[in-house]
Amino acid sequence: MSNTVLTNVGDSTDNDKISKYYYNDINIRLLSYLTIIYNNKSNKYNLDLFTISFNEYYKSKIDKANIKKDLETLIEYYIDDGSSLILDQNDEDCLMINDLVDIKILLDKVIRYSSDVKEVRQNKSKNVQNPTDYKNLMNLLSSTCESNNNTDYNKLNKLLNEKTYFHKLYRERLKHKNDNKNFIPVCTDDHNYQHSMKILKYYNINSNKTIDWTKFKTQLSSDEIHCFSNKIHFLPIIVKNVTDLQLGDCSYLDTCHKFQQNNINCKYIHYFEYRPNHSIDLTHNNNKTGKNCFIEFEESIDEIDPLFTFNISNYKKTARKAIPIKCDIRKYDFTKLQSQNFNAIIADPPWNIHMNLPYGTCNDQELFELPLHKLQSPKMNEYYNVFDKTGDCNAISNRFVYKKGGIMALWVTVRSINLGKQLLVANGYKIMNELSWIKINQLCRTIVTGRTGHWLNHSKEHLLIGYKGNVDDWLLLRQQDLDYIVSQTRETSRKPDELYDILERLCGEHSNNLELFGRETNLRKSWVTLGNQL
Amino acid sequence: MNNYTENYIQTDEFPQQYIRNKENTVEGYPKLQKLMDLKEQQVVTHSTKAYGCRMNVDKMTPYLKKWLAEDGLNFDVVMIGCLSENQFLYPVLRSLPIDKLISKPGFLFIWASSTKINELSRYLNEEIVTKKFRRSEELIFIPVDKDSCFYPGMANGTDESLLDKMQWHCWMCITGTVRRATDGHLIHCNVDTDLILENETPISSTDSENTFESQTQTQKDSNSKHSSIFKKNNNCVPSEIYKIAENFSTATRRLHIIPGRTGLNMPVRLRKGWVIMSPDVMLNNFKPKEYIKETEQLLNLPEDPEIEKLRPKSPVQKPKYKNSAH
Repeated sequence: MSNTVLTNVGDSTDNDKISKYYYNDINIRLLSYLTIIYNNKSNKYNLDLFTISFNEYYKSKIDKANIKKDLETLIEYYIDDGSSLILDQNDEDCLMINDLVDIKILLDKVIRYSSDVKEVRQNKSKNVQNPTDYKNLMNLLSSTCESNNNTDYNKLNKLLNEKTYFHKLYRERLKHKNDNKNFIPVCTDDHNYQHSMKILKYYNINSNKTIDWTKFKTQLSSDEIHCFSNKIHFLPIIVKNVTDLQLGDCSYLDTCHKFQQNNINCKYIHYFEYRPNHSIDLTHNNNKTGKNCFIEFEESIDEIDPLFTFNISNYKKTARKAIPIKCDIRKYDFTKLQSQNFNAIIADPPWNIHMNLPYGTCNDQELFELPLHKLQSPKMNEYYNVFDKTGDCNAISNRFVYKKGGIMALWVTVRSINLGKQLLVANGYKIMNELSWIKINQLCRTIVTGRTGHWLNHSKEHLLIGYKGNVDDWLLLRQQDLDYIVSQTRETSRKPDELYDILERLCGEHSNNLELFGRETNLRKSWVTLGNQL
Repeated sequence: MNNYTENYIQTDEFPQQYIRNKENTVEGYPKLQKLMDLKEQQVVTHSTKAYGCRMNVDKMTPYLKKWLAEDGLNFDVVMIGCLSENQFLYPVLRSLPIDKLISKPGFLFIWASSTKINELSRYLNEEIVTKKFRRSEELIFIPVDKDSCFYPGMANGTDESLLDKMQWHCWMCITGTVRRATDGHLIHCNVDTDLILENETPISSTDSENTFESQTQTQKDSNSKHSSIFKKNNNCVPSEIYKIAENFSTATRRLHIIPGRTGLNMPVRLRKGWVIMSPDVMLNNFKPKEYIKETEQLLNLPEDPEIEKLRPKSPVQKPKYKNSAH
């Protein structure tokens, strides 16, 4: 094979260079050039012109005969199909490209091999001397596996997926804002409760006294001490002569009404949640004071956060009061809200799902008649105080901000996903994301029982997120959160509060937001809540 | 209550890692566990051998059309797509006579990353589909983390997404009429849920009984050191995805079309009871006539009294019950 390489490009002198451009007898540059010039439909190229442009592009001096030879090898030996690449010699050396798929696959393979195979080959020669050695073979296999991940394509892909520094800085800032100190992880390794049951030896449920696990160094392993003093554990409650272990766990667990009335009413297993005493953690507190200083210093400077002047949200340093408006949304005059320029809107409409529910439902017609398009229509916003570009703090100029668009988050049921999409599109929104709320129960398990759906059980709910306006206005604040929420269920149809945080991270803290079809539990600072149950 | 979303922002630890029934969804429910085991057993004992059908994406529709016309080849469960972003879903779906390929009643599952939602919504809103199919459920699959081979990394870089996308999405459509209360011989409802979480156990090993290769045999024998190598040896379709379809429909004629190359890191593996059509499938042993002969004898799994006793059923309607009681 290497002989053909040399004869093909006889006029070029630098052999090292040649081997770079060739893999066996495949001209890599030629291959990649074919993919560059192809523009999605079949094309004819005059070979003379092709050679000139090729040389121009790579700043090389390869003559037409060599190009032709290389093309012929490609067509004859590598692209077996015969229809995707045709060299028509009757028609004055004309090259036809009909289809790129085979060429691309070949290029991908060639690039991968030419960059990786050299190393692997060296490995091979060492290891395969003793092919019966099972371990060596396995190592060799794993090394080839890994080298596949290092192709240029993968490297490039990784680079492209890298987040911007603005994104990273914003994340740092978010980390400083809250410290989520109430977060106590749940022990995930304990499936038979053998491990958790050890707690019962030392812990009295009735006295509810916190335990310093470090006292029991002799009885417990260090791993167990660490686990017990840092993680939540679940202790099965077994009522004598009532609880039937064969039946397994209660589907309702801590929300079981029967069990709450009297623990002899439910035969299934319920659990007591053992929470470790978390105030011992001193390092945590130290960090917190540091963070407070940082925020206070910032607060004294400006009204508007410089980070948020990139986007047009009504970001304010201070939170406004929660505003409840009791009304029948179907009849409410939305023009009253038009001047508010809401950044984010949440709507949890009572979709009619043909089931008996403890609240009234709206039919689809009524929902489509809501004048939602009025809410985030383009608007000249009120004056904003913005620093002068020169950086002079005294020269504060007032300017209008043209406010356009915003986010609308719409809860839907499986039946109404499509309707929800139509509703958003009809009101001028583009659907950007579908967020899923993965429902978990007291034991941090997904919900699998109870015939919660029509065909399959439902362990999650859907939220459609639509956007209106120019996405670039938000470009820098996007993609901090994942497109799902894992959160414990609460009362019927009550949605997780995490959604507020997610929307506030997108629009800026204390931004001006609206909730439709809200209830008492939905009231929140800086949010206006509309609903008939307030 | 723990706020896993906030915790993710603070520590970059994914919320799903705290879910305690990732490995076994029915943990804590012995009755459901038994049902799952029984169903799995039944599916395996009554399934055809594993079929592979290797062909390029552009040949799929012409061949299926040909077999449909010449041999009357039909399927009851058709799954299209896998957890790979390199898929030509829309072009294949567009050209496929899907309403004829799937018998009635029949079930269609389409898997894609969330970037393709809009593209596929367009397909699902087309007349042929809306007339013949009912969109019944939407399923999602979530990988363990961003290093998982199932992380849809391409989803974010290029589009205007507001959130960091990590889901895979599936539309489950039903054609023909099935009623969940009365058609227990055709479908078993409410066995599985509409959510699949990738678990840490290597998928290839949980599936070892069903795969063909001798490789899996060596894997069983090998110690844990070697099995870590096989963790990378993934399947482009986690077995849970097949299981949902198998648990739901009792039909035995199942086709899986993978319209795209999946690459070396995610090979296409065979599964008993399925015809897998892909450019990369390892075996090419599918002959329509032979397949029709083999499946003719048993189109639906037989009713198993124990499964019937355990599976969730629709409640008997109240007025009827009262009448019979009086």
